[in-house]
Amino acid sequence: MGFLSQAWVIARKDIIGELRTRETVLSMLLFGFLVILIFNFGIEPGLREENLVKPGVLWAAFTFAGILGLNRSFIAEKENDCLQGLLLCPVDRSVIYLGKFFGNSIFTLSMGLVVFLFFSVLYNVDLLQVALPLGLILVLATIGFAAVGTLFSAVSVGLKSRDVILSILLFPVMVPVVLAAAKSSGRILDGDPLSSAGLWLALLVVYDVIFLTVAIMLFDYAVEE
Amino acid sequence: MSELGFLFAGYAVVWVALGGYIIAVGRRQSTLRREIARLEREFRTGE
Amino acid sequence: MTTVSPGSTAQPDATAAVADGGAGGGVTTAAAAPLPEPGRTLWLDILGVVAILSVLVALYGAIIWAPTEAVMGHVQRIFYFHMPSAWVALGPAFTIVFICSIVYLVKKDLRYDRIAGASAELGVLFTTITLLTGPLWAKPIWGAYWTWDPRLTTTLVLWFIYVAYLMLRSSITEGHSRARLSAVFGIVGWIDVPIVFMSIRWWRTIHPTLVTGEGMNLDSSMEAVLMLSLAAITLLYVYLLIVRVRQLDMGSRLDRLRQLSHLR
Repeated sequence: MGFLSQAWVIARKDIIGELRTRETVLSMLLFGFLVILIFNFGIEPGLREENLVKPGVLWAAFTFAGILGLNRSFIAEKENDCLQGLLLCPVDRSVIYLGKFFGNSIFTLSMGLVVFLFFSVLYNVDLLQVALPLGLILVLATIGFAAVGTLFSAVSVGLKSRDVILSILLFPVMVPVVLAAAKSSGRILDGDPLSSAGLWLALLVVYDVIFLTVAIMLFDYAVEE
Repeated sequence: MSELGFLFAGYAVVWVALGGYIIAVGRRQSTLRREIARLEREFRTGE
Repeated sequence: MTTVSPGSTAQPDATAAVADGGAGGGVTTAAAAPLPEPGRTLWLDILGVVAILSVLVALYGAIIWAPTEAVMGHVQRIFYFHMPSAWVALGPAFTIVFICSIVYLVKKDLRYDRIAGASAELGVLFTTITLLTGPLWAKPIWGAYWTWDPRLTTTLVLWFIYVAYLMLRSSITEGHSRARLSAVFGIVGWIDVPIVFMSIRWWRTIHPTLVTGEGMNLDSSMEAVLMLSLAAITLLYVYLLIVRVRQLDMGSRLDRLRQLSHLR
């Protein structure tokens, strides 16, 4: 089996488990909706600067909800001692990382899509016009988020206060992703073309490439027993 | 606050932070020292 | 004597029992000559004295000797300790965390982990000083404690990253897993810093840069004082780092000794 198809087997295991219970994605979604709802009360309706605040709300919801999924990513493995079994697989550790990364990306992406939908209904965004560029931003942000998030999830899974530690580790490192995603989607929501956000998209791509590489290199140390 | 007040506050921050760290390190040092003394006694009486 | 794998035994009640036993044997030790203080050497004491003296000289230079800045007045004197603190934290302190993290992962020698941990502590200390002195200097000059200037914001994010690093360390007790996991985070965090800086700089391009160090005209005597306090704070960092690393070394040796002592 090839490298990627091996990783896909691991991702599929997570996806099938998730389809059976639907626990993770549903709780992520609900949490994302709630973040938008709560933030909404902080924004004066009809405020002239509303357009400046909206992308921030969207990406805050994405980040907070996304971390819920990451929190759970390795817990099930740890609790049932599946991690041991997974690590004993005769495959390279980077395959395990990529598998978990694919799984987390897919969960985060599905959450992101529905949260975007919810957001566009609440704030009267014409989704058809912005769907493609926003989708591209969502994919790029998800890759960066899941790349670092999967690694940190493995780092924090053995700790007593893993949920809090994961948030504390992940949020400051995520600053460039959240900033680039919020700024570029702000441009799109203002009706500007995708090219006007070129610099931010480039930043996202650079971030994704760097941290995907670094995480593949470091994952072995994060799970070593 | 006057200009000199800000200057004073700035320097106070520097010295309080540095002093606090040095005191914390010193405390840990004396804990270690006590621990060593205790283990010494322990080894001698054990023989 | 039985052989034990390290880390397998360390009950708090066992150490309490050791303490009781030790108190009973106080009579015999009273006669013994006091051993020299462990971990203390002449060169380190000299380094410490030099570091503290140079900080005092820099203080004299900053408060008394340097002329008052024409535009900003006396408040500008905060700069002589603000800027060197920022340099020590962002330069050597966090870079050493990064390097020692890599070296630990390669060599698996806990000494490098202790250096990384001590350096991160000092880095957070100096970043805290930078973040607190900055606003105190900015308020009387620009009328605001804080602006979202790239440098300020990056320093704040950096502070959060390394506080997270220290929290991660403090939540793991076993030596090698603490070293391993914090090394992973130490490497990722350090690589993130330039990306954070770039992103925040692009974010703030519209804003006129209110807070720039370049805005100051330093005459030669001011520059001399700045160089002096840069050297002084760097020396202080080096001294404190060595002291703290030796202390951590001693602590880990003591842990081993303690295990041996209650096993006999």
